Amino acid sequence: MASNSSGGGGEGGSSDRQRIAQQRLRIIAGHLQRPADDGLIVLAAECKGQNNKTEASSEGRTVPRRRQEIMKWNGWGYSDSKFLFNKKGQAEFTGKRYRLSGMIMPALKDWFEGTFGASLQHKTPATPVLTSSAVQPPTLNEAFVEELKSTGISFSHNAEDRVFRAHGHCLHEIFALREGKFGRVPDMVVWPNCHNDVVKIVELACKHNVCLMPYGGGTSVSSALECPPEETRSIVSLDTSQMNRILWIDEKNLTAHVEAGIVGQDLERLLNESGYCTGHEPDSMEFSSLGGWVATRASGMKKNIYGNIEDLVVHIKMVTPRGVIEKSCQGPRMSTGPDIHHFIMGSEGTLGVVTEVTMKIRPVPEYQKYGSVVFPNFEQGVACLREVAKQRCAPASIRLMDNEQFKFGHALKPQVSSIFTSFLEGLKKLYITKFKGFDPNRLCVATLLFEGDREKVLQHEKQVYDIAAKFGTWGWTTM
Amino acid sequence: MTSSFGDSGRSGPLDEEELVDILEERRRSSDLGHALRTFSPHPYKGAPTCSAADLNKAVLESQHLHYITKEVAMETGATVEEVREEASGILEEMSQNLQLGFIRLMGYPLSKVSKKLFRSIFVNMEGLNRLQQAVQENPVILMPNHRSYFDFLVISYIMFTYDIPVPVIAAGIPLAGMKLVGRILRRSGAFFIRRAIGSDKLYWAVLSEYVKTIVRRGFAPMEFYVEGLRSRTLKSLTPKLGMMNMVLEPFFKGEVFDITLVPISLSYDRVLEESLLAHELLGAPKPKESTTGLLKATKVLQEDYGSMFVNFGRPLSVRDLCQDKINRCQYNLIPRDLPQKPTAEAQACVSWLAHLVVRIQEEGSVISPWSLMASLLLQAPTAVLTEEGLPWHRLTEKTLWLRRLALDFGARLNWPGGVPDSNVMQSNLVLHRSVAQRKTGRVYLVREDEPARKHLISPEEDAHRTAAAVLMMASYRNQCLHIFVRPAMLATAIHITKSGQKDELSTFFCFLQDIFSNEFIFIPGRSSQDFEEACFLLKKSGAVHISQEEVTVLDAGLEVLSFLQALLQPFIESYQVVFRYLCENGPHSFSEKQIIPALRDWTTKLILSGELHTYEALSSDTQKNVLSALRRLEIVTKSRASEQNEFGVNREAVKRIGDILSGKIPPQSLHPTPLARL
Repeated sequence: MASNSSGGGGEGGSSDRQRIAQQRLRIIAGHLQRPADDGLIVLAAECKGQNNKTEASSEGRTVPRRRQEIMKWNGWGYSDSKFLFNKKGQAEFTGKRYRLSGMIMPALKDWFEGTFGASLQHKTPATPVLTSSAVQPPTLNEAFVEELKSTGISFSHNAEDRVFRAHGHCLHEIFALREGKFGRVPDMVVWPNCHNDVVKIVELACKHNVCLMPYGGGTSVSSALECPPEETRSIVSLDTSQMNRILWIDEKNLTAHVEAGIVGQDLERLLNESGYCTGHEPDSMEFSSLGGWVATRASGMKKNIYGNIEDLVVHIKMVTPRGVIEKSCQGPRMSTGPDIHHFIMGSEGTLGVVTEVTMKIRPVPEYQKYGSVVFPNFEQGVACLREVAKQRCAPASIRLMDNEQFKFGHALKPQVSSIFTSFLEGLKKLYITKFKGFDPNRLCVATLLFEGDREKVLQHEKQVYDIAAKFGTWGWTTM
Repeated sequence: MTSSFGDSGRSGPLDEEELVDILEERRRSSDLGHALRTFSPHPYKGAPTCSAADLNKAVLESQHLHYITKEVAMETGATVEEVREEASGILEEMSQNLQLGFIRLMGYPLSKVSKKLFRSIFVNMEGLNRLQQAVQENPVILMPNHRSYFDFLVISYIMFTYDIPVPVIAAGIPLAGMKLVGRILRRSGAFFIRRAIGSDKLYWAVLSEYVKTIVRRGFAPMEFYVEGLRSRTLKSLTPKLGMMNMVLEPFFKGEVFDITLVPISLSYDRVLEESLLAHELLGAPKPKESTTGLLKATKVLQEDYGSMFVNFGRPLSVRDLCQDKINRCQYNLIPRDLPQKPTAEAQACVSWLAHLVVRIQEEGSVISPWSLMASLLLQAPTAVLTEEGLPWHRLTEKTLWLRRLALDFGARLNWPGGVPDSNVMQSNLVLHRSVAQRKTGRVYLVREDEPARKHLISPEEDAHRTAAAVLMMASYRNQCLHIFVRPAMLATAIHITKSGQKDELSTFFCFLQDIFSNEFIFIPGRSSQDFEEACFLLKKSGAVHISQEEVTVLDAGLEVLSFLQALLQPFIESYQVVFRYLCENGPHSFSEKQIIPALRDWTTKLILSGELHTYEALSSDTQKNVLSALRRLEIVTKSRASEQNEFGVNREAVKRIGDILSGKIPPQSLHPTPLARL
């Protein structure tokens, strides 16, 4: 949703952006134009068994083995939470999980129509259910399967399970799913329960020449989960979701040793129970996993305080085809190099399976404060953020949204029930546009998050607002 | 090549060493003066001293205990506060409160009592000097063997006398229960450990944190008995590893640079509790430690117990010893304070070190002439010993022969020079008149006086009277067993296999080691060296000729071989008795509580029927050792079904072992799975 915020990079020129966009379009088109034959061989004997296996209880963890039970197979997030236009033609967000759930967003329809020239009359519904016959039958490596059985590690070659793990969340990947198009999908899914299980799986894969693709939260946007269409060997998706325990918390050194399959929201919730947090909050943290953060060199929106994944990680255990790789100490850094962690981070699962990670933790911050600053235009906003950067006083999170995004954000505002809030909103709008003279089609906004002990937060906030004031802004705090 | 580990004591006669009788000074000057002497030890350089209160505080506030407290609270549903309260209670029960004043208070009566009991207490000054040095450099662990209640505090007494920091001592909780004495002991540095801790997580945590804190801080040496308890048989016991684990952990985890282990060998000419111990072996309950009991025991003061020897072994650096034994990197990956189970590698390393220490204790112990005499006396049939007696001149002759053999094998023999040999032997016999007596040129086994009772004593009671005397004498033989056990096993192997092939003998030797590793101390993973050592010693004594592949018995060696083989015979017979019982009569499953008395009754019957001549088979220690060996070999297994340690027996396997031991079938691997022994 936000324009790039925290990391550097990504701020390429517009020609760059165009190039990338075009490439994406080409890829999407490619998926759609693929000859239909490869998805159409029907095998009646397929996808039996496995289905009726009872789920191992994962002690209140978010991700079940059969993710499709609670999550969309062809979109982001939970099945019960989605946008739709109700009978009255109003945009609505369903479900009960979020603050926005069950709310009506009156402005969204106009925004759609105004911004994209879209029309509610023109519908392109997604393929409603996965037809397993549309999925290629699995190429199984019998010897591998046999030996795997003897280890007792659970696995499946159910079509739904396989399709679910055949993609990340790139636009083109989701687009293809909505159209019911599947390319090469993994032939099998395995669910190791612990590091040793992974060691066994990797050994067997080496022995029987099977491809392994580690799968964490499945929120990848780097195409790392796409199966190469030309691959003839059996492809096995290694789902880490059942490796989701916090193994220990070291309160003296402020580190936690965690299995790599844990997803962000579980990790944060469990740490909070002991009064700690990691502070690592990538946008995908609801679903993305710790191992995935490491493998994709993730960045979190509060990296200004907590750092990115490479700053947070103290120790990584990774199973490679040539054995387990890990440092022999818990020191956060060594004055020797090169640092093996930097080969692992961002390796996208190409070098091995990350199984356990020690990462820094901190006590949950005493005080949090959100805020926003409005700028007359994007340039002023950039100048202000530059000044903040120059004075090295960036709050936990500071993001500048351009006018497009600002408008989108407004379009998502739910219907307000109280006349008073509605009145206040109107007043705000009036003040900004009429009194300050900001052009609603040019203004943009920076969102802020301050964290720490109360006194320091207030002091910090003042410093940032003082800087912002120099750039013709108007700021307010929301919480 | 007799392996002198770390040179505990130089092998050979004692007179070359500088032994100082600490009682001599006490006999010359005032005991009160001694108790009030200026005590100025060189302290440990690493850290300041630490009061008992500081120590307890550090333990209670440790991160480790903090974790466990939380865990226990979660498991039991109690609040963290309550669990902390409980931990604090445990610590209170456990902790020492070392105060110099009480060492002085104890010093005075100890001087008095020692002089009354012993002719002299010899200490090797060289060892003491090395200790004095070591104490300043690294945390020191004093590891004496445990033969008598008197062991307790004698080391503190010596340390006090020679200006070395007084140790804190691990003791059994019953001592704490003694009126007044418990309190005095606590203030003399004793801390008290419960016997059956079982799976009490909180107790383990408090104890291990307490021990580790003492080691980490290093302000005082720590003393503990690695054998765990007093040896009823005067033979070294298989080391217990729990305490050893705790003591070594600070080194494994890199919390201290090194730890110094000092094996200490305490040897008594005559042990105060000799007859009590023999009766305990025959099933008499161990008298409860009590103050009144202690006062009643004052009658021991009227007897002569000869000399006592305290040999401080060469300090061992754990760091050096563990060099290739353990990869300490593994400890880097988990926070130190986190409770964790020792890895197999660590356990193997700890076990190896513990066995090594016990072996060094054995090597450092002093052998008395009486021990040699007892070994020879026991080789005569018991009936002969009680009825006809053994000719004195024959015993003299054999003892002098055995003295040569023992010296050949590297024994530290306390055979005074400058006195005719027969006088030495005579005085030893007099010292042990409670066990053996010389009448008209013959030596007899002395049985305890018949209890004055109205009714006649039953044959069973009579047999037990004989057994008590035999076991008492056997315990003195046991004092020198460690010298002979390896060559004796080779002699037995030669006798049973009737083979001269070295590899065949080696296989049988290893089999014996496997069976007897609860009986005698063998350092894990050294069987081939042990075998080589046995070969070397037999060759040295002129008993055999050894070529590349063969061992040839020499005519001149028959005497040595038959002595050695007879030395092991009572053990083999005792083991066979238990095997037979398990195969023929025993129930399929049993609890340890039931089986020992049942075994005793059965063995008594065998003896009375004349089928068995080995009274030693009545020793409950040996019986327990057999059962432990069978459990180790997984032939006797714990049945999970019941709560009360029920065991099941694999009779087939027991029979097989019995057959191998008697030479009916060749040895085969006993382990169900190849056990990795370090």
